[in-house]
Amino acid sequence: MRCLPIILLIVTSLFFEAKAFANNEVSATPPDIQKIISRGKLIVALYDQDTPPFFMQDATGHLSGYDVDLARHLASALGVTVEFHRNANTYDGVVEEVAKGDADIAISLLSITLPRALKVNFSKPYIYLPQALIYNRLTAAQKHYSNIEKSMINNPDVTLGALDKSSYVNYVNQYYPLAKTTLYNNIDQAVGDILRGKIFAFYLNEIEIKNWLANHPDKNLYLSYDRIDNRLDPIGIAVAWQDIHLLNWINWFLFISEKDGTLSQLQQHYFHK
Amino acid sequence: MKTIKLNRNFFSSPLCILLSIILGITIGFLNKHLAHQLASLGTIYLDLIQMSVLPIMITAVISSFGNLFHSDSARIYIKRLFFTFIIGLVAASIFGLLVGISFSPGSQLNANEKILLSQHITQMNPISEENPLQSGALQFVTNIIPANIFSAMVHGNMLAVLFFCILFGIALGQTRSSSAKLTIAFYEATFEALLKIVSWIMYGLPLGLCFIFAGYSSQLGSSELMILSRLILVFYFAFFSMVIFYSLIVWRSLGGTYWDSLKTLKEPLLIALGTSSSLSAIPFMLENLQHQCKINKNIVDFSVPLGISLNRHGSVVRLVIAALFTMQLFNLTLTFPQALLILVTSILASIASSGMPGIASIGVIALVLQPLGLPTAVGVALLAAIIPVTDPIITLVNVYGNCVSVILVARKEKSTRRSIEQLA
Repeated sequence: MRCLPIILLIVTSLFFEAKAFANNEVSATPPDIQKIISRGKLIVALYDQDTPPFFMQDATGHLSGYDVDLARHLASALGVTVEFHRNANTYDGVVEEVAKGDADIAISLLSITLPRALKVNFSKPYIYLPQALIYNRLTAAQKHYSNIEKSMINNPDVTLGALDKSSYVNYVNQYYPLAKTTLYNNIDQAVGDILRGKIFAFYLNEIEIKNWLANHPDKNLYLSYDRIDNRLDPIGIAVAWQDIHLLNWINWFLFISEKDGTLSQLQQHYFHK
Repeated sequence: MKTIKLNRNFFSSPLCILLSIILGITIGFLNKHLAHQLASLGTIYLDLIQMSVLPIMITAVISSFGNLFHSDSARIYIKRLFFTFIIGLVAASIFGLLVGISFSPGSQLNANEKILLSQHITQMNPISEENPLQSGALQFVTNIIPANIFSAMVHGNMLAVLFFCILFGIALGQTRSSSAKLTIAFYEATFEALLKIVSWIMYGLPLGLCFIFAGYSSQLGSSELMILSRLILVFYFAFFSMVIFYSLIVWRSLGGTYWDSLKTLKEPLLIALGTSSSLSAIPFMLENLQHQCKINKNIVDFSVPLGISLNRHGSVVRLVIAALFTMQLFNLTLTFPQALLILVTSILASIASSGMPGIASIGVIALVLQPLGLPTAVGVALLAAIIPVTDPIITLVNVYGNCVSVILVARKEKSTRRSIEQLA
């Protein structure tokens, strides 16, 4: 990470040299990256609802979170500023924005799924999120769902929740085909319905669930969660399919950020233990 | 037994014991650092007592069962004892239900109480995830029957040890040979020698209690317990009413002044309160019931070890209140069949938990909560949160309840003997 600016300096100085001394007009920087550098800012698409600890806005309007910081690191490595576009109100909508070219990239807790990968390119996963169920303690005890994972809840009497137009809708249908599904716009609505007994559980990644429970400590009495082992959700950065060089560069950026500890620092900072 | 009489001097006078407890509590409040150091010395004293407890239990059960079955008087005693146990346990369970219903500790918890309990849920996850019901009743039976009696002893599996010793004692009693009689006498002698060791240890009782109470009082007064004070008060109300009730029974049964009747059982009760270990109180129960309350040695020796494992009023009440607390937390109303279910399961669960140390014994609440369809984790969290302040008094109730049971069995025995004499 620390050596990145130096590498960039060398790359850019090479570029200037090339411009100064070469007569033919072959650019030293690929056009997809050049477009961002000339603009001086990187446009990052972000889901419009706060999703702590990945992206959230405080009272003063300042954005923070794992994905936000990752985007800032990426922009500074490119030597540009960052601008977040929070227009999409679904995760699929975030992917659309990148596909249409409204944003350069999307760093927005995007699960890498095959339908999405038909429209955009995904970087290598920068994190794997464990999938988990947050559920009603009392119902689990009454129905003796002693072990949530063991498909006991894959039956028509159970209603499960998932975020609308998110990868988790597919996961729920894939893993619990017999259960009924209700779609929600955010975790607060879903948990409200769990507490009221309207649905049994909400399928989401473990990090968000833990974070929610940590912010609502009294609800632990009524809610519990189970991490589903061996079911990992790969999260990647979405890039327009034309921007092959940008994608390559992002993959190297992620590789280096992982090796120099930037990613694990971010995890330590944002994820609730 | 002369040595035991010797120590009825200054060291075990109520005044000395009271002073040492007050000193310990004062140290605990004034100097927490010193209190922690003293507490570790207190643990050494505890170990010293507990060192002899297991062999005392074993020899007491073997020799008393051997003697009883040798003289054919066993059946009456055992029937009477278990009758007393069952009545006492059912009464305790009903009392717990009444307290839990009338005070409804689980309804209208405030946010701080909920947050604190939630923290305990997260901490206690490993214990609440153990599932005693899934392993089922079969597991319970296999716990009682030891595959290896020595490993049961090593692991402190009291029910298994008791089961073996009872069988062994009965077998010895039924073996009609002079060598069998001799063997029973051997166990009796061992038992008395062990009691003598305990009587020596008794000299250190004031000092030991001072250390133990110093450590105990230094833990009190934390903000956590203040938050849960409403719940703790419900438990305390239940246990103190039981203690007062027991003391009245003892007073009525033994005669004399109320103060005298309190004094007869002071050592076992103070040890129970100070150590939170009913096993440590066994030697003192045996000694005081036999010599202070003048109860037949055989009755004492066979009913005390059994009672400590099976007849635990305090544990039953704790489980019942915790079960009702959980129901109230989820705004569920108690139906009559559910009350009956709690009555039975709480007694079984308290027996199942015998011999387990404080925190581990909490897990058995699953036996009560799961049949009711209630989440185990909540009950476990409640008990774990309050265990530091309720454990001593629960142990006191367990020990006191057993003393009372033994006294009641003995009183019946006296009256039957009298009627037999009259007939003769």
